[in-house]
Amino acid sequence: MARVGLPVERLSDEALLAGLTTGAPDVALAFVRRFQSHVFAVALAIVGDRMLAEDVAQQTFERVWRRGTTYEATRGTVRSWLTVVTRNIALDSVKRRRPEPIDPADLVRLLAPAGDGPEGASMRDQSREQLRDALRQIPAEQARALVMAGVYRMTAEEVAAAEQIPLGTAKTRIRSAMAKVRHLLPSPEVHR
Amino acid sequence: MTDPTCELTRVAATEYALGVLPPAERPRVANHLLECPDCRKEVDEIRAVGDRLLDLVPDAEPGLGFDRAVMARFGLHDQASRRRRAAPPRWAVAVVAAACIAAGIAIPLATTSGQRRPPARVEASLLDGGRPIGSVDVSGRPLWVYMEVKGEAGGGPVTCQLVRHGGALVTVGTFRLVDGAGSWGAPIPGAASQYSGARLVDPAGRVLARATF
Repeated sequence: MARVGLPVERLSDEALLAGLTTGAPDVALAFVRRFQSHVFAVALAIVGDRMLAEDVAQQTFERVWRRGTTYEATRGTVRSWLTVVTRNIALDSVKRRRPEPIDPADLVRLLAPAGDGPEGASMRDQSREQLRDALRQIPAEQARALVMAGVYRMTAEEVAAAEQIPLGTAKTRIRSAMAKVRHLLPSPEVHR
Repeated sequence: MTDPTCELTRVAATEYALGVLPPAERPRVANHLLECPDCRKEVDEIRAVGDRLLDLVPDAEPGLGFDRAVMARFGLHDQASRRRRAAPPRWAVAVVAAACIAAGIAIPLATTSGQRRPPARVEASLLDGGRPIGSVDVSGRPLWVYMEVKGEAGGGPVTCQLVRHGGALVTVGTFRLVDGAGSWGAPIPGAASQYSGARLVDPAGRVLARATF
């Protein structure tokens, strides 16, 4: 096994997270810079307010810093785990204003094609468009269920509550949507 | 995939791969994945699509100085600044050393002279109930952890965890055993002396082997 000296920016996500929990300042800074856009974007998508989203994002990093050891590599990537942490903090912060976990109507924005504005320009990524195309080709209620579970990391029980459907139906929608999207995507990325 | 366990796993695979399967149901799926390469491949493919779903979140950047604000929240930014100020540049150390030698003044070889240096490397055997099944080595600059397993037949993903003094666990990464064997390495932060041991765990969280440095 060759030993390779990597600059901190090139460490794996898992190694950076491990570094964060040991309190190494340069590793912690690299971790924050690598994930701050994603964490902030998820927070903003849920709370809809930049100032509140920044506070949520800061709380997310602080919680990860204190409890980084709760990450389990076998349950998903660091990025998806961070999404769950961000989502939970964001939902807590807006609970009084929004009693339901997420308004399904808000998800339409995620499924819409990229516009011509600055935000749209940055979203004209081929992978995203392929994904949007696939989601538009499946029944809308299935696409919503998959986005709730896949983007907002809502459990089937939470999806059922938001959509006011039985738990079994929510599970079936999530599963069916994923199967169809996998089939529709031109070249699924495996073992990234 | 005709095994009934495969069918049950397939039903739960999407929720498992997305990380939203209820905790009570996870161990059953995780245990099956250890044994079934077909189901493992299925979950890996779903997970890859799940990660692409995260790209649907519209791009957004926090304000300038966000990273510094987070570091201040950690209490690390000031600490890093102080450390940088306290450490003299390498050329300054060389100049002072040369001047001392020229003046006939004895200088210590290291500023920690007289103090016990923490170990730069720790290593130990991985023990499964007292039986050695591999080794762990934490060393190098930058610091790396190496884990080598030569166990009995068996396969599937396993996770390397390091144990800090005080007992906190640091999950470093996951690798796969084939026929009970595998080797893996990853860079880790900090110093070797921060760690007191290592653990090899399966996806259900069971400790397969331990090492004590």
